[in-house]
Amino acid sequence: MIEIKNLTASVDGKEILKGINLTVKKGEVHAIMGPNGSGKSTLSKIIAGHPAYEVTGGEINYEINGKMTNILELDPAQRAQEGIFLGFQYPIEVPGVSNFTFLKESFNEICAHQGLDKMDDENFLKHLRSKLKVLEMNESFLERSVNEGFSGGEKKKNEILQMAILNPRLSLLDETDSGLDIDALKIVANGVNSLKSRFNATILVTHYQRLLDYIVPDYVHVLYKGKIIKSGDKSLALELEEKGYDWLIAGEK
Amino acid sequence: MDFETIEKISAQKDQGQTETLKRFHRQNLDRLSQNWPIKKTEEYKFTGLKSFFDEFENDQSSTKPVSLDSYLDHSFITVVCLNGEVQLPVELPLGLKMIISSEPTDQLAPESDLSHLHQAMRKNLLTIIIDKNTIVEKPIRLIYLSSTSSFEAPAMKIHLKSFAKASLVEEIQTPERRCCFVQQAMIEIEEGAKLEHLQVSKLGPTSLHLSQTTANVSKHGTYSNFLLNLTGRLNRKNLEINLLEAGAHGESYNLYLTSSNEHSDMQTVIHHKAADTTSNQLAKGILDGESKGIFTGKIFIHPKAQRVSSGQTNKNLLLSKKAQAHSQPQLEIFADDVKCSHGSTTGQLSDDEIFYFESRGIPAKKAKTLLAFGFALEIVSKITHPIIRKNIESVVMSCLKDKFQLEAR
Ligand SMILES: Nc1ncnc2c1ncn2[C@@H]1O[C@H](COP(=O)(O)OP(=O)(O)OP(=O)(O)O)[C@@H](O)[C@H]1O
Ligand SMILES: [Mg+2]
Repeated sequence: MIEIKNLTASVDGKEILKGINLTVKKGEVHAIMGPNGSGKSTLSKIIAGHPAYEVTGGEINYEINGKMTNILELDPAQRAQEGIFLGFQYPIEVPGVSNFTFLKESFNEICAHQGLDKMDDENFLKHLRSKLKVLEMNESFLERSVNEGFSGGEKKKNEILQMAILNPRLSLLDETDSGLDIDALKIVANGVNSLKSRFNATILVTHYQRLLDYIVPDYVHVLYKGKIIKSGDKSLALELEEKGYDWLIAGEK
Repeated sequence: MDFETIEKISAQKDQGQTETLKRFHRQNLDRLSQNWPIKKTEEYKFTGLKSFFDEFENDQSSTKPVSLDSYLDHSFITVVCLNGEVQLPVELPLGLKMIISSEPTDQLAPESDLSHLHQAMRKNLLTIIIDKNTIVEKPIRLIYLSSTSSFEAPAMKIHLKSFAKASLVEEIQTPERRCCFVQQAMIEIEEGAKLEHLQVSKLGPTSLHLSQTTANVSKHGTYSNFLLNLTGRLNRKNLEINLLEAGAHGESYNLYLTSSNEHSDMQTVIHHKAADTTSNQLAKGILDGESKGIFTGKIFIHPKAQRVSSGQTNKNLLLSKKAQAHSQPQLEIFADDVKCSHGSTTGQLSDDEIFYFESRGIPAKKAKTLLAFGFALEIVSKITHPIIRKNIESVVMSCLKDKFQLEAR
């Protein structure tokens, strides 16, 4: 589904990613862990196309219509229309634009790209209600401005609501678990799991094993100073939980 | 436009009028001639009227018929003013009266070069009276149109008797034409009466609109004014709200959307002349291209006006590097027990906001339009009449689409 080759990137001349290689296949769940500031969010934002980062080398190949295509030339909206979804570590507050409008506009853009008809407000609301229910979210969230005044946990739930509506092929969830209480974590994990299929893939960025108890990864990678320094299966996460990063980093320092 | 042109237009407006009105025109021309060309004063620091008038050509050679069909919306009480001629509706609800006087020598605005210019051209005066206790449910809509490039001086007076309630929308629409509108409006609000008043400018790219609006609010009366400068080469609006007695409340909401070389200048003055009066002001601008947006908000709290509360906010959103916003709050407080606040901000759309939209499949241009609309919505949401609010919402949205999608950053 996605193949990242030797990706290097910088911001304001400072190199942050220093040669990332990562392949994710359909149906897989990958977890990316690593100390603060190692480049996890940067990697996710670059896959989604954030303009602040300059890709200085390498490729990101992503499957579009059955063909692996280098997506570095596509703008962020085009990437989203092709099914790439980024769940933000820090969701943006957008005063003046209601959650309903935001969801409807993005849903319609993606439908239009896929050659599907737009949904009218009434049918879209029905569709929305079913997803709200899964996430145990109150309908009043639709009228409110996007993320404005939402609590930390509510913002994260709202990201997953967007994911549920847009039904992406590749989801990059950047610390979706942080800020969630124990019940909310279960609800969100349950939401993510219910969207999983043979045809899509998920990349989870997280610091904690807790999330991985609910969404079980096929692979776990450790990112450190812009490089993946270790990959393994789900047991690697357990090991990290127990021992921290020092034993891995020692060799890198 | 030189003084001879003004005299010529004034003479045209004289045709078929009474001697009294002709004399009125002449008097005002004389007063104007002493100050012509209009000099730059403090009030017009950012808006040199002379240069705008120099740009204006009075060319009536090309006439395009105006179709009124699109204005026949039965959810409004519609009054069309075409080429300066007011066409009243056949039927009006009980308690609502409209009168056209053809000898309109009333003083509707403070003396100034601008008022003399208006008064040298004024042809008639529309007076709207709403009887005591009458609630006019349907909004009144006054549309000023012109089928040729022309100079118009519309004048309107609305009087709400005690406890009357109404909503009034004045719209100037001159697409494709080069027009100059110099307008006056006077509002009288009696005890406990309430008026919501919108003044909407949708002008062609070479048209000018200058207006003076004066409102006097009595005991427990409420006057809410909305100045919406949507398009036009020049929109200069003067608004004065006089809060005369206890409980009087004034609101002023300004929205200006400017692009290319458009110039918007709003000057509002709120006089708290009595104790226990309140006011609220919010002005928002979205500026693109090389346009300019000026907001001057003056609040005067007179000596005996204790326990007054007044707030003023100005926010500007700049969409280009060359657009300019000027914000000038001016508070003069002569009483001691008052609550008065003001603030102004100027910002841009953040890349992170736009990226958030893009990451959900919404292209950047559309994202900017939605964000700009979100910014404008704070003003639109203050409109209380649901029919007007819905109408203005779509007008603002389509205006944003027209204007800002075209201009690259
Ligand atoms: N726009 C930016 N401007 C300057 N520096 C940046 C920018 N974005 C990221 N960085 C820097 O790049 C490095 C990697 O940041 P990133 O947010 O990707 O880390 P992270 O692995 O997600 O960390 P955390 O676990 O704390 O979320 C950090 O040192 C950060 O300060
Ligand atoms: Mg991060």
